[in-house]
Amino acid sequence: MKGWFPAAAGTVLLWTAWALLSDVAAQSFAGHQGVLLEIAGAGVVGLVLYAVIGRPPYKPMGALWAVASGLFSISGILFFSLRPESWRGDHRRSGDGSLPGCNTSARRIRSRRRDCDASANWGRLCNSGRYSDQCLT
Amino acid sequence: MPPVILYALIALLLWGFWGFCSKLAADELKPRYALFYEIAGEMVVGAIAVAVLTVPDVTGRPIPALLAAVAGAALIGGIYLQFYALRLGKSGTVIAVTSLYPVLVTAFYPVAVLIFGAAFFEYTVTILDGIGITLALLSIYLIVGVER
Repeated sequence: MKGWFPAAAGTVLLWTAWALLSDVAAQSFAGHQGVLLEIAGAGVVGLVLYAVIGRPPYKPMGALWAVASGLFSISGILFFSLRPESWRGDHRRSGDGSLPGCNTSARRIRSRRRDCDASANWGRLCNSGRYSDQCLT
Repeated sequence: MPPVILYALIALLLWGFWGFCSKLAADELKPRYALFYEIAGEMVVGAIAVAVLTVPDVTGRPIPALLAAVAGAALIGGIYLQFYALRLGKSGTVIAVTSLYPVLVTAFYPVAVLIFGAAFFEYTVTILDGIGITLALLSIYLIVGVER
C-alpha cells in the first residue's frame, strides 16, 4: 500500500460524510445557504486549530498558496450550489409572479419570502406540507 | 447558457486551481499550518458571500443548521488529510483518488436512508450504480497498486 493512501482514504470517508450531511441539511437550507453554514462550521474548526497550534510559522509563499487553496475550494463549492435566486435583490419568480416550483403568488408568501428564497428545494418543501398553507402544489 | 450550468463550470475551474494550489501549499507547509491558512481563505469567501447572497435563517431549524456546520467540519477534516497525502504522493494520483468520494456517497445512500429516513432522499441505488461503484473501487485499487 502506498504511504499516501491511508490519508487519502480518510479524506474520501470524511468527504463522504460531508456530502451526506450536506444533503440532509439541504432539506431545510438552500444549497448556497447550507454552504454558508458549512463555512461557519469550518470557522469554528479554524478557531480550535488556532488555539491548539498557535501562530503559524512565517512562510509567505506557503501561506499564499494555502489561502488561495481555501479561496478556490470553498468558492467552487459555493458556485456549485448557486442558483439565480441566490443573489440578494434577485428574487426570481416565474412569469406569473410565483416562485419556482410553487403555484402560489409571491405576494401571498411575502412573509415567508426568506424561507422561499432560501430553499433550492422549494418544490420539495412545498410537497412536504411544511408550507402547505401557502403552497398549492 | 443557463446560469446554473455556468456556475457549475466556474466551480469546475475553481476546483482545478484548488488542487494545484493545495499541492504547492503542502510542499511548503506542514498540513496543520496549511489547513489554518486554507480556513482563512474560506473565511474571506464566507464574508464576501454573506454580503452578496441571501443569508440563512436558522430560526426553528437548529438541527439542520448544526448538521450543515458539522458537514463543514468534516470537509475541513478531509482537506487536512488531503494535505498529508499530497506531501507523500503525486498530486495527480492523490487527487484522482480523493475525487472519487461521490462513489462512496452513492454507495452509502442506503445507509443514510436508514439513519435519516427515506423521506430525506429521493434516490435509489440501481444495479448500474452498483456496477459503477465496483469499477470505481477497482480503479482505486489499480491506482494504488500500479503507481510507480
